[in-house]
Amino acid sequence: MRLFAGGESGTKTGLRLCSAAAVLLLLSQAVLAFPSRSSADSVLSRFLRYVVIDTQSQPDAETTPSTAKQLDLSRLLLRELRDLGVTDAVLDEYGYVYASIPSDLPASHPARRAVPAVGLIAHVDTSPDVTGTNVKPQVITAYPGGDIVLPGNPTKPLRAAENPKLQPLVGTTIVTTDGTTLLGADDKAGCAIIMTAVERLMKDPSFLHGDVKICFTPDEEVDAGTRHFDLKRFGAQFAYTIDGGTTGELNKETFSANSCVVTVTGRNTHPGDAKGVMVNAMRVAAEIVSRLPKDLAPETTDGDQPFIHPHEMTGDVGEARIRMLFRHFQTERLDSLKRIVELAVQQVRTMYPKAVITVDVKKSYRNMADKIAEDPRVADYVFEGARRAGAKPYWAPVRGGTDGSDLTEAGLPTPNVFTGGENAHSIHEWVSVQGMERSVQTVLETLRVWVDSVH
Amino acid sequence: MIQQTILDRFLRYAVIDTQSKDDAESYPSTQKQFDLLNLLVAELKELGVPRVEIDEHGYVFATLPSNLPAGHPAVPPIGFIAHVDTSPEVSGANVKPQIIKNYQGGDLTLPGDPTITILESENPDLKLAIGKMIVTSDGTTLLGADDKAGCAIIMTALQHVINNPSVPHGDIKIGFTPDEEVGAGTKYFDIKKFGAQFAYTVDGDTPGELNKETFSANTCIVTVHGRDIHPGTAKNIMVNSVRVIADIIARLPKNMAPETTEGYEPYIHPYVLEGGVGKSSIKILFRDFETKGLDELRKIVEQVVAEVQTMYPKAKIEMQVIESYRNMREGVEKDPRVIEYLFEAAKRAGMDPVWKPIRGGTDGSRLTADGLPTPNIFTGGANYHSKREWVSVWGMEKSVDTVVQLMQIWTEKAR
Repeated sequence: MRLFAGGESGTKTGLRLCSAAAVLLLLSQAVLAFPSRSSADSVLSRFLRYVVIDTQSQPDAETTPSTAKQLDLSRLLLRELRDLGVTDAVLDEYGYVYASIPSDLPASHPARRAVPAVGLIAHVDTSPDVTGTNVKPQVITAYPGGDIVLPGNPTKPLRAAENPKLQPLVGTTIVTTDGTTLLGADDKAGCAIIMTAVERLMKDPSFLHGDVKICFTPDEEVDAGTRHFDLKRFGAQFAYTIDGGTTGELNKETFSANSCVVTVTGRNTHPGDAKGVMVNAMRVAAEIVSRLPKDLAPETTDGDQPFIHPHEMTGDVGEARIRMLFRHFQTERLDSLKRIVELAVQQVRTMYPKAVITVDVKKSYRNMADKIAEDPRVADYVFEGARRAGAKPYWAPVRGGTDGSDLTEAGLPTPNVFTGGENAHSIHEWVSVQGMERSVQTVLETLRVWVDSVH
Repeated sequence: MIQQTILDRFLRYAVIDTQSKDDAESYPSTQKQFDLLNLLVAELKELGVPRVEIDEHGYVFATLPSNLPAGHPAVPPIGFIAHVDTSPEVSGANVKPQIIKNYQGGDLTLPGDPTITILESENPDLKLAIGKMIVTSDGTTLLGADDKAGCAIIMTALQHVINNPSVPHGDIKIGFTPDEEVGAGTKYFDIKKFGAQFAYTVDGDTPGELNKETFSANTCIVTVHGRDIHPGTAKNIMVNSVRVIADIIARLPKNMAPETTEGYEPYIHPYVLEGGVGKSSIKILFRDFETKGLDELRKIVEQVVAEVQTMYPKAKIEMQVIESYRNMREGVEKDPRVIEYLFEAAKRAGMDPVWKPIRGGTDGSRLTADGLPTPNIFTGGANYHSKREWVSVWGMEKSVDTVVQLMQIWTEKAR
């Protein structure tokens, strides 16, 4: 996942030896030896099989996928889908795996014709921020509580104090890294969850479901996850990304986003002869930025607070440009952010009457909640599915956009489902196996709710 | 040989488009500068200057050998330099010079663009030209007196001494250079090959004004390292270097800027800005006529940086100061003859000369720093880099006279 709702970061360092007598098992090599089998495969064994494959993506690449190694996992998923009997699974030229599982509802079932096709989406790539080469997952069965030493990096343990979400998991199984790489639960947990659900659908004829569509995408971490996403080929009417975090957390709200460019035109003359003539656009731009509210910035806000973020400022005496992000959960209040900038510009204009200052605002993306509210079933049913799965669901806003917000904007409403993963894009990334199992159950129960609710 | 007036020459050069270009990959920056450089080569040969050459960079170097009798005390070789290019700021294509034979005072409207007026109130130098001839553009281009007046003045002075063998002179070195307006006029200037011991650029403006002082200049780079992270989860972690650099710029003194200073006042001038969340940097010019004053300017910026650092304790702010050039005065005063003789020559030409500081560097300041002391002589031009550029023909004549007098004075004083 690119963006997550939690405010947690477990990357502080310090020297404190782990007191936990954790059982650390290095399973990766052994697991790799397992062929894909016909007997039921656990979500953990799938997960461990996927994370040892390096699928790091790369920003600013000219190709899709950005790195060829992502195809190593895409091809494996393709083969596993086919082995499970999903015969129409394909891998397209951009690295997207598409597959569908036809409805098994009997002709007489009331939902047979009415239940919409529901899609499940996860991404195969891992973040460019941290290496994904040579991942050595550490499986801790029956987590005893306390800090967890990572064997490849003993000075940077996973601290219980910084990870309050560990405490409720005492006694359950969690997976960490060895401290030298990321884990890749973001989003190989999502891949494993979907595949585990697919296996159940394919092997349990008593499980009644409508048409289910599957897609595994590349390059989500470099903002290109939906660039070549073919909605028509996918064929779903509603979908879910399985790319969230903490167990139980569901996302149907993202920021609404505009971008703003402030352009200052000054007047350049030879500086030796500039008195009363030169207007230095850089000074004007700096005065504007220095007047932006400091308590409405990404570095000072969280939760559902909006922000104004000047992320780029370039220029010279003759012309300077500031690029800003406006982010607000309430689309209709994005304009209030624009007014704050205009007020700062107005003040600066009186200081530099000869400078020409323009403010240009462009739409970026919209809170997916706006579209989802138009047909709330997609949100209501996943909430009910998660409840039935015992996941204690709650909605959390995402301070950013997701692949789901792009898809929702393009006409496919796509909320996001938890995976049980934490600390994405970090050597301290870890995942709760119980969380992954709850996510599998949530997916299956949600498919059932779609069938049950159609009359 | 037909005697050519300074006006003939100037008009011939002004209509040749020699605009230079910023950030070019070639040297000279534009090929069309060769049109004038090659013409000057031909005219120098026509005048009978025996040693004329143009190199691959476009530099025209020529020597008029001494005409002193054997046994005359040694006279150092003296150089005169002008540049052929015109400013990239205003078009130099299709220049249509307008000759006003007998300027009677008042504002001047230009025929090509009635909205462009040369106001008497903004041009005090016009008073000196009342009753005399001036040349303007038609209002659609610059005129190019900067520095084709200099080219014409040097050529006319040469013509004068060649045609009047009674004027005694030592070796005279001539240099016509490209790309002065894009800060590259001395990039390939080979001082040794040029061969002068002292030189003068003929690239000033107001008649009677001479220049022996330039700024001393340093460049300062301030770099801020912030911390970039996804803005959705940035609370207490992100450090936005764009905000830091903006607060630094906003605190630089406004009364010490190019736009608020003149004369001998120093300035601090932020002129290039490059900023993203993770890293931002600015370039700042420090300018002061006193080299030691440059340290004061650095301290002012250091003070600002320290203030802003307390607002953003997690930002890493670096500051670096690089020496650019030094006041020409420091070089020319080592052997004050180069300025004393110039002052005397202008007096003999009937001017009431004044030394005026240049708020900038000149090609002469770079040459001086490299060991060739090179003050600057007026040309009679005004309003450079503008459609309102004009030149006083009388001013050009006085400049020719000054150059000729200067050659003689160096000879006289050699006794």
